[in-house]
Amino acid sequence: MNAPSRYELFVLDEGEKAVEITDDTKIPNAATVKILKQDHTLGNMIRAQLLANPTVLFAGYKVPHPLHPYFLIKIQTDGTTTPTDVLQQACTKLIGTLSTLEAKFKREFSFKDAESGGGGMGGMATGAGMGTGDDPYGGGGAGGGAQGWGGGRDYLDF
Amino acid sequence: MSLSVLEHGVSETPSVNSEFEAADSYHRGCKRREGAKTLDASLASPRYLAISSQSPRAFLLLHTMQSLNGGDLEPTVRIRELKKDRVNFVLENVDLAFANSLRRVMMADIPTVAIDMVVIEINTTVLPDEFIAHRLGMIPLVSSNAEEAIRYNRDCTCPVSCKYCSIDLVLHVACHEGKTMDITSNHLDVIAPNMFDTPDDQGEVGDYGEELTKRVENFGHPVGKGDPSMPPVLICKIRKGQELKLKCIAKKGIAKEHAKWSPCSAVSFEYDPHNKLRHTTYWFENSSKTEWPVSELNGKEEEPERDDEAFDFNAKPNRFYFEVETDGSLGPQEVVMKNSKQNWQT
Repeated sequence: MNAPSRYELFVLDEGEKAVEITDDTKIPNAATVKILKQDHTLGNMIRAQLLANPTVLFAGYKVPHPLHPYFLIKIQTDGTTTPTDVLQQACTKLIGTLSTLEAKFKREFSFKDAESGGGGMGGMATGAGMGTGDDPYGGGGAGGGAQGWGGGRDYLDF
Repeated sequence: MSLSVLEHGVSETPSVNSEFEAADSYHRGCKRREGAKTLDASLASPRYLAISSQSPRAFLLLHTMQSLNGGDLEPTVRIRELKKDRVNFVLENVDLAFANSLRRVMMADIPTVAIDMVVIEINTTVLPDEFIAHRLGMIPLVSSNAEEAIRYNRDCTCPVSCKYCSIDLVLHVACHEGKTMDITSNHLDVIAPNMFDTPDDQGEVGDYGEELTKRVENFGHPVGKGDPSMPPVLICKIRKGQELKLKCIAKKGIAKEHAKWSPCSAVSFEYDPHNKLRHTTYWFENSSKTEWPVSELNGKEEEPERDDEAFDFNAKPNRFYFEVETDGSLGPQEVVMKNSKQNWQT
């Protein structure tokens, strides 16, 4: 009855800030960043990206409790940059990598569509299915119009 | 006649989330295989092996990338197999953490549509209401472009549910014959939303209706409905005189909330097929060689370690083999593409 909604584990509450930065009081050029409603998916990725930066002396993350939907990331730099800056750089770089990867995927998928030839392209043209050629369930599936898998209009403009 | 509203409880099915904890930051993961499957060896044609990962253009880009990226190469992708419900690809020049995040996002962060509420009117079958409600929740529904085609129920301004944030399905089956009858996902019918009536509590006029135009024709229908080549999902078996009548409300969600919203049925992820990194040097019974099954397909992509080769302590995994298998709610293409579109907030 009074259980909290399950989506509270990954949706920010109203007025809740996603990121909170606390400078370390004892170690120079160090900070702890608390990122809310995120988990290992983002934490480990950012940690790894931070470690690729030579100005970062230390980067580590932890999820203090599996039932609490946030993680902490500790960063120490060598003083040439601030922890906030390196974190920002790391995030920008990750977003860049993701967009190059997206472009690569797009290209690869379009090659695959072209390779699979008439069937696949026909599927794309009539807007049926994903236009993927080989039919693991035997013929007829891709041509099934709206009944194809993930079918209907092909809004994904690959 | 019993009338009960059931919601899929948190306790009924473990959320995918809890399974993830294994990916800790401090110990580098050992060989991880999820939903390990036997792969077709014939796919590893030498043609794929011959494709170089570096195009001349990529080489030019490299110089700029190197100064920015601390010497990292640009990531490359090679799709080895693409079928209607699965894709097999090799990802190179990325970090292990990055590849793992990709895997996690595909499994748990991509929105799909699944039955979330069930109102049971008549249930004279042998299965209890909860049982049937749970089964209904697990049925994959076509969710192409769910990102834009439907709102989250929690973000919607409607009091309970409306056509912008939910899909209504009905099922009414009764057996009048003297033999066992199957109730399957094909008996689920989507109630078409009325395009013309406007929700009375809709404040802003600008954005209503936008979702509906982005839906595919069979959005929210059980996957494979009307496709004779695909066997439907069995919900219940009934005999003469038994009846099942219910109404379902399907909503958008992600698998972090409940595993039923995951678009993937299996994601296999592998790196270092020959265990050159020796993640499990001491973890064997008799011989580390014989107890390390080399995957048929991925093993051919990399050279096995020679006996005279010295162990490289600084080696890092940089080639990852993925096989993404979807449950049909989304195409594999969409799953992988949506992947990168998930917005990461800074």
